[in-house]
This record gives sequence, structure tokens and C-alpha cells, in this order.
Amino acid sequence: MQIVVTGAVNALVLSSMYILVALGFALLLSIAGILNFAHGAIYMVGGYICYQFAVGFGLNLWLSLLVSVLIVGLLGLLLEKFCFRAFFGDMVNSIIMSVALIIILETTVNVTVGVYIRSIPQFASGIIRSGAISISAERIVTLIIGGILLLLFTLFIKKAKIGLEMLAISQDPVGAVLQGINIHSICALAFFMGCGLAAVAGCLMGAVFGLSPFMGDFILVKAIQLVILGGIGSTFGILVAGLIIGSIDATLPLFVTGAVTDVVGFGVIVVLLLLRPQGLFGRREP
Amino acid sequence: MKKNLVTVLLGVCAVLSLVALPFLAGRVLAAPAEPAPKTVDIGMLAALTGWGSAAEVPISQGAVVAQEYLNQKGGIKIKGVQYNIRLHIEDTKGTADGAVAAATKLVYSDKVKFVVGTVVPNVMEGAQTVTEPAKVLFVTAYNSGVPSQYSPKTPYTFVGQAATIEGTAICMKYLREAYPKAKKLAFIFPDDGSIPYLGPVLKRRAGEVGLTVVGDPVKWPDTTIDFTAIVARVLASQPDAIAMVNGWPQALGSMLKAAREQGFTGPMFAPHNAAPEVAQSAGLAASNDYFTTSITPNDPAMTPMIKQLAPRLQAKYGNISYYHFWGFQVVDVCRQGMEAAQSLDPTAVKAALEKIETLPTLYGTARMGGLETYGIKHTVCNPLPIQDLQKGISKHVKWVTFVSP
Repeated sequence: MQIVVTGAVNALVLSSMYILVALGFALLLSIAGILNFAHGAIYMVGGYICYQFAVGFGLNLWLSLLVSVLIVGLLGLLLEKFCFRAFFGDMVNSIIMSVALIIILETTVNVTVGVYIRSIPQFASGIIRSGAISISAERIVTLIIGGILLLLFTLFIKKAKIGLEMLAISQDPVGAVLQGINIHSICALAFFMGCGLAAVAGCLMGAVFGLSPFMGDFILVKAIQLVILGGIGSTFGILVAGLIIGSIDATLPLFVTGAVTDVVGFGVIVVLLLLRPQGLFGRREP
Repeated sequence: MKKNLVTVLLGVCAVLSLVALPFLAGRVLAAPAEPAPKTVDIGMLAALTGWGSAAEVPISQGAVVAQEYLNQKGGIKIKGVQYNIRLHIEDTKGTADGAVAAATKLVYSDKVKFVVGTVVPNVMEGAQTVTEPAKVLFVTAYNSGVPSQYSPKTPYTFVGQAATIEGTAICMKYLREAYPKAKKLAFIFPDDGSIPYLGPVLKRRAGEVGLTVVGDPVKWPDTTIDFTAIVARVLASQPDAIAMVNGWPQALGSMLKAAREQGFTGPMFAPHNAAPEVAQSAGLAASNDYFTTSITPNDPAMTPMIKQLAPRLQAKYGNISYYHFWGFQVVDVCRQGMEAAQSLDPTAVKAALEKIETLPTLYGTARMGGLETYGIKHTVCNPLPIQDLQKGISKHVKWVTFVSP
């Protein structure tokens, strides 16, 4: 019973974190046409900034998380203006730019603080026990925060004016401009939000699993998996894909060696793409 | 007028000569300058960037301190001639191809005959593709037990200190003393190809101290972030204790945390990982009943050598890491081999190290071992200090020795 409950909670925690990062990644892809491979590095930077404020400067942990989100969000604005704006819609050059950013960010963190073991303090301590079952309070809190953010994001996209403008740009940028939507402002906001979401995930995962200069590589792969599996442009698709991939990652190692988990995850994507190239809920190109 | 000019010129020359005379006399009468000591070049391979740098940067720093310390103590004396150590540090970037490039530069460009360093298995193997054919003596800081890294097929490779098998055996000995009720032991290994070799050997070592190994060894890939499911698999075999054989402090701390979150309260150990670093990763709540083999620098039970080195390291680098001592150890073993051989020829040094039975190290007196275990007697089996972690606080417990047969 312990294994079942642990697996289920873990699946939800991993899924929520993967989805948070993937949504930010997908936002930039669908609105700015940018494949931002540096998204994983930004997630990592968010974690380290939170650590620095919480442990280095002694700030309250929750405040540190907020500060990290704001700083990384501002970093996103700078990246949009100075690194990516020139390459909107240009996939190749934006990839080159994002790869350069990965190397710069990872190496900078690695040579400055990467040699030290770092872990963000727990956002909630203690173990919740019920009979033979025990669950970490930290993971429950991570799950709740992830769930709330996902809900807010979904509501924002579907109900808020700016969210609808983002949807419009993702569907037809030219049409959106003709409707008077300021594409640069919306893209900047998308970068802010996308990077902010990555920072939240980086802080939460940094508390649960610890920090490493290369922690972003793993999460980037997951984000790409989710976007491809769910379908580019589909928020609901990313949610479903996140649950699938998160569940595989959380439960398969219970039965097979960990390396097989990655194979299965990619195998699912390959089979799906062969049957349904647009992903689970993506729009098929005419 | 001409006569006056000549007189003036002669006078000036006389004055200049008088002024210069003392200086010229000093040069003639001064003792001849001491010839500068000769140098022996030792290459150092370390991941200064990339994966593994958290451990290998301190290893390289320890090697630098070894260079300074040993040179201050008179360097290496070979047939009455003093040789100072000159270290050449190259970055392997934590990858096998990085190690090949770094080793190639050391061996073929810097012309070193001795190389020390690196602990990452595949990185070590990459370096050995260069050092072994070139008959360059390679003293590594660690060995994960895979024959391709260390066996009769790598005759120029020495392991500079007690490594995986020795460290795990020492921990198992301590487990029986400190936790006599813990009789069933489960193993977790990284998925680095070592299980087929380490598994049977460690099972034998466990049996020798009265432990029963339960369940199959559970392995985890290097890319693992979440150890919850992996630890759940281990716990399914209902062990009394868990041995985490190899892994970086980050991963070990995550495993410790995952085990405690799932209700496991038994002892857990991992050789060669400083308890404070594991605690940093695991968090205070999980940092109980964990022990390892690691140096506690300020403990009175540390050896005189450790007590000498600790303040040097603190002053130079602002902190003391267990890995600093690894870097010192490998350079010192290299030096001792050269002095035993009274030669700078790697083949002669290799032969001399193979004849040595005991050698003094910063950990205390070590014995050479490993002939039966690895097929080659090239392991420096030094005593190791047990470091215990309770409620987030680590402390030294005792020194334990194990010599691989």
C-alpha cells in the first residue's frame, strides 16, 4: 500500500513540475516561434537565486521564491529584448542563441557555486503518516503549489484579455497584429511568465531534489517530451502529457531499472507520433 | 689643452673604477649561486568544469597543496639529487573524450611520465587509453571496481587509496559493531557497469562479517533525479540496513531523504562521501543513522599529517573538503614510488611500488593489496575514518582498516 500511495503522490508531483516548465516552454514556442533550449538553464538559475536569497541572505523562504520568480522573469524580459526579438519566427537562429545561453548560464553557475552541494531548505517539513503510509509534507505542498499555478495559468489564458491576445498570436500572428495587438509587448509578457514558471519549478524541485548546475538538462528534455506528446499549441495536451510522462517516471523504476524508464518514455512518444503526428491534442497542419 | 683633456679623462676613469671596484670584487668573491633544483613533471587530470567538478576541483586543489608542501620539505630525492614537483593540471570536463584530450596533452605535449587524479570511472578509462600504451604511471584517486579500469590489463594504473570495495568493507565492519541487530543488508549501485564485479565481491565481504544480503542489487542511472521509486524497490526486500555503494553526495542525500520519507529508520551508509555534504542534500530531518568513511578535520583523533594539512587548506581555499586529502594522497603516493625506485622511470617506479608492502600515508600506515580481489596488487589500502551523522551533526567515530586480499 505504501508503494502505491508513494508512487501516486510522486507521479503527481513530478507531473506538476514537468507541466509548469513545459507550459513556459510552450508559451514561448507558440507565441514567439522560439525553441528556447535555454529554458532548462533558466529553471536552474531560478533555483540557485532562491537558494542565495534564502540561505545566503537569510530571507524568508517563500519571499525568496517570490524574489527568484521576479528576477528570473526580468531576466526573461532582457532575453526577449536583447537575445531573441531579432529571431522571432526564425527557428534555426533562435536555437543557436538558446544553446549559447545554456553554455553561458551553466558554466557560470558551475564555476562560481557549482562545486558546492546545495539544496534549498524544505518549504514544508515533516512526514504525514497514516497507518503504514507515510508521505513527505514537502511533496504535498509542492503538488498543491503546482496545481494552483496550473489552474491560474489555464484561467489566465482562457479568460483574461491578455491571455486571449496570447492565444490569438499563437493562432495567427498577422491577424493578431491587424487586430491591434502589440505583439512585442505580449511576447515580452510571455517571456516573463514562461521564465517565471520555470523559476517556480526550479525552486520547488531544488528543495525536493537538490540543486545542480546541470539540473536544467533533464527538465528541458521533459518539457520537449510534453510539448511534442501533448501537441504544440495545446495547453490541455501538455497537462495530459505531463500526467503520462510523470506517471511513467514515478512508477516504472519500481519495476525496472531506471534507464529503461527513459526508453519507455521516448518509446511512447515515437509510437504516438507515428499514429498521430500532431500529438494528442495538437492541431493538424492543413 | 689636449694635455688637460687627457688628464680629466684619466681622472674620471680612475673615479669610476674606484666606485665600481667594490661591486666587481663582490661578484668575484661571492659564493657561487646554488643550482636551481631540478623538477619532475606530474600531470593531474581533474574535472574542473562539468560533471564531477564538485569532487575533482577540491582533488586538484589538494594536489596543489601536495606540490607546495612536498617541495618545501625537500621535494623528491633521487640518487642525492633533489627534484621539485611541477604539477600540470588539465581539465577533463568530466567526460571520457575530455579525459583523452587532456591526457594526450599531458603525455605528448607536456611529456609527463606520471599522471594522478580523476575519480569518475568512464573518465578514468578515457585517460587510460592514452596512459597505458605510453607506459605512463597513473595513480588514480579512486576505483569503482570495474576491471576495464583496474586489472592486470592496466599494469601502469595504481589506486592511490582505499576505494569502493575497501570502503564498503570497512563500513560493513562498522555496521556490525554499531548496529548489531542489523543483519540484513540491501545494496544500491549506480548503473555504471560495476554490479557484475562489485556485487559478488561485496556479498562475500558481507558474509565474512555476518551480514546477509537481501534482494537483488538495485541500480540507478546517472540521470536519476528522483530516487523515491528506486528506494521503494530496495525497501521491498525489507532490509535492516542499506548500503549505497558509490555516488556523489547529492544523489546519496536524495536516497537518504527518500528512504526516511518512506518510513525507513534503519542505518544507511555510503563509503567516501562526507556526511555534512550528504546532510546538505538530504535535509536535517533525514540526516540520522547515516555513516560514511570521511575525514573530520578538527577532530583530535585525526592523524598528525591531517592536522598539519587542515589549516593549510583552510587558509588557501577557505574550506576543507574530504576530496582535498585525496588530491594530496595521490601525489604523495607517486612521490613515494619514485623515492622507493630511486628513479624517474615509470616502469622502475611501477616495479618499486609493486614490491612495497607498507607505506606511510596521511591516513596512517597503508598496506598494498588487491591481488586476489582485482588480479593486481596495486591498491593502497589505508585506514579510513568512520564519520557518523545524527540529527544533522557529523562526528568522527573511529579508524578502521581493511586490506583487500
